Amino acid sequence: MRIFIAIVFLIVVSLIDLAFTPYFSLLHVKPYAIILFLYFFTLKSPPLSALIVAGFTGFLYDIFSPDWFGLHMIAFSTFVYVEIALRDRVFWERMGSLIVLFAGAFFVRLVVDVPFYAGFLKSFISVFTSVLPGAVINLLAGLVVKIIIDSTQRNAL
Amino acid sequence: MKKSLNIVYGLILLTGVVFLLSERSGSMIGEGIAYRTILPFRVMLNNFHELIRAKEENDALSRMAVALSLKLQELREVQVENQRLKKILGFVQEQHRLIQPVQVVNILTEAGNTIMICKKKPYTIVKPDLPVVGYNGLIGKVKEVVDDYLRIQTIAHSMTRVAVIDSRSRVFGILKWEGALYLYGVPLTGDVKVGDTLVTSGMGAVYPKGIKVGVIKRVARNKNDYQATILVEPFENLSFQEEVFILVKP
Repeated sequence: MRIFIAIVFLIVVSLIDLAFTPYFSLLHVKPYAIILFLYFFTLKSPPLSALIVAGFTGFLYDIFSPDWFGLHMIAFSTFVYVEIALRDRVFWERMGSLIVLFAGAFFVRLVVDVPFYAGFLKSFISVFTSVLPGAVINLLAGLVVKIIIDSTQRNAL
Repeated sequence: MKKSLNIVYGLILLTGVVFLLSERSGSMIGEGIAYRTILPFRVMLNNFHELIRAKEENDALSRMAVALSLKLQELREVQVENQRLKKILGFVQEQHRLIQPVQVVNILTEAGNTIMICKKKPYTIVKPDLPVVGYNGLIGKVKEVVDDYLRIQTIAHSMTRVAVIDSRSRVFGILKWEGALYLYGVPLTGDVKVGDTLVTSGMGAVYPKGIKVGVIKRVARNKNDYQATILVEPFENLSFQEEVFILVKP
């Protein structure tokens, strides 16, 4: 059941990211809901399955943007791998732990979104116009999701 | 951290790097998979986007239709008011004309003058001096009727004179063909500009008021002349027409 829900979530989130981005983008910044999914999925799932899901999701995203095939795989799996590595060192119940999400979102966007091939200046500008605002959006969305998850867990108790 | 986890991560990383380095093969794999598995969903989503776009377009068109409907109502009110005022002032009401299509069978150019030969339907009554129009504007007038055939003297004929007014400034003039269409009778100070539209003025009793004739192409004001030389381009192509329409009084 848990796997089924995760797959449904993955499909929905991928659809939101890949198909409906034009309707969800804020100030021309892509929302990248998949980062949120991977972040929370990694916290709640066994490390190995989280890593495999990250790799598979990256592959899926690469299919849709085949110009730099493999980039999403590397970015997503690295993000999840670092999160797994930090698992025992962070108090995930605290809101401050969302800094990991912010850093992860920043990293993924830095790898995926910055047009390094277009020269230093363009890359540098896009860090401030795309990467940083995107990471902030992810952080805020993560905050909302965390509040929702915490409240549902409290109600369950 | 478990060893297996490191191995899996290493494998994923390696796969990504291999794809990245051999960019073309990665693209081919991606394209192949996308084509076979994800394309139908992609098509479905594209259709969904199309549906949303169509809905937006539909909304915009609906708004435009409402705006035009309001405008039409407003114009109908103006028309009624216009008719009422004309009645009060004792204006003679212009008779509504029937449109009689005729087929052009030949176009003759004699000494630079263009004449159209048309064939009308049997038993339809067409008399000389009735105005002839095309889809875009005035063509000329019926000159002669022989059996089912008509001879139409176009505005590209030296014998044709058409009383027109500038639709913007209401300046009056006479159109005349002299190898090209010229507007006469406009003084040097007359308010005519390039791009102004000329319509029939209704004077002369042949052409009813308000038929579009042409657009002003050039205005030359020579101080030695007493009137401006104005070149006009007709709206209708007078060298080729398949069918024209006669405005018949009922």
